[in-house]
Amino acid sequence: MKKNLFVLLLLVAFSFEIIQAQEEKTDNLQLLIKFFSLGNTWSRFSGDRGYPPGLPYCTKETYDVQLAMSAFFGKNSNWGIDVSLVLSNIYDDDKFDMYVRNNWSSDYYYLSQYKSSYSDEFVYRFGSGVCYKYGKKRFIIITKALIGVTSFKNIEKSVSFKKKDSNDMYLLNYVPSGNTDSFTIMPCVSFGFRLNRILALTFDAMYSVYRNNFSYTETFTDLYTDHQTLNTYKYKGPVNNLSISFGLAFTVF
Amino acid sequence: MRSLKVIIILMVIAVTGMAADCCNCPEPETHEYTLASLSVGNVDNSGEYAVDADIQLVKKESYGIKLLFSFKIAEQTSRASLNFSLMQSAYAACCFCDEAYYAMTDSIVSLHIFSETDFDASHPGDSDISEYFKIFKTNEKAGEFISIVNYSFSSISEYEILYGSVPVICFLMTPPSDSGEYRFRVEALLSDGRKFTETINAVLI
Repeated sequence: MKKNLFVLLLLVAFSFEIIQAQEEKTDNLQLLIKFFSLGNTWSRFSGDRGYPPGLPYCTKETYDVQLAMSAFFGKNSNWGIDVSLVLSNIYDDDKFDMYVRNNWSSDYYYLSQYKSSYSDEFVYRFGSGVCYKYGKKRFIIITKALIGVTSFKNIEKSVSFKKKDSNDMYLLNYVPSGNTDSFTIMPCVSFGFRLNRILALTFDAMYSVYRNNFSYTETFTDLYTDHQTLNTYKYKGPVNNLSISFGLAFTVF
Repeated sequence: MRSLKVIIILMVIAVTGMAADCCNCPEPETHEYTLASLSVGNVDNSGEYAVDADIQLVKKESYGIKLLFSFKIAEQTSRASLNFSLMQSAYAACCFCDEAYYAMTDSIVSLHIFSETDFDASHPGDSDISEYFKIFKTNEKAGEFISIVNYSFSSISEYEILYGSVPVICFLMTPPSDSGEYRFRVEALLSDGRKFTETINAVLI
């Protein structure tokens, strides 16, 4: 279902990137519309250490569909404006699962994990700003300085345990707070290779950085006595992302 | 031209009949089951899952009692009614008819566990120690321990009824302070007045 949804998203992803535009009939407008592009985003979180790995969304890799449009006003103008959108499906690795198993396996049996998976979730990055292009023939390079917003979607995780040599059962629960969209700075560089008058291959490298002070509350509950042990992990510091994508674009010259 | 009209009229009748049959589901059969027997045994829950205690020595912190409820068909309360139609309903691809229901005719009114040996200072032999046992009931948030006194057949699924039996584990959540040999007895009173009494083999806990 998740894969189908992602494929469906790809099929309807009429991403719009603008690489360049110089059309005989439209002397005053050059356009480059990236309509199909696939890529990956790698995230690095440099905040506090000691939290369970693989728990927050911002530490995970994502599969991306990128859409972009660049417009340059004036026949000889190299300066323009750009609008970019990155839709991402989060890749849920097994780091959290392995952490839980390794950390609690000495005294407890790991029974099952509840709640949803990150693989069911989509996030987006949207930005707009100015761009500058180099080259007019087959090769085009566009540098972009974008600002925008990144959606933030940490999810709850729960794991049940059974204590060894005992009838006692426990629930380990991680509840996130601070799931707010974040202001994001997104510098980007796009390389275009024109196949013909209207079609171009593109390669994009986008760095984005944002700050989101969120937290996770860890609750360890004895399901018989309802006794709870609480612990809070506070996350600070910037989240760095690098997105790489390849795609196709229309050029209107 | 005349034959064409006849063919069209026949086709309209056939299509109308097919459409009507789509919504003409037979009355679903209801199969009612009743409790046939109750068997009991000691279980060892020291591992990942509770298993039958082959040896009569179990750690008191991980001791439990397995109740195995077995069912049999009580009666069939309703049957599919016969309906006249131009075609078989089974051929109508758009039908989504319920085939049958499976339900219990009786329920557990009370379920109690007695210790036939001295359990602790406040519970001498033949005392009701049901409060010391709990049943773990899974739910969307992992699960919860419920009192065995509150257990009934209401949570039994149709699959379990069809399977013919359902095991229920009663975990000893308040073990005795002293280790030793204990013997327990289970009494289940049903809504139809029947009473099942089963004594478990003595166990060292």
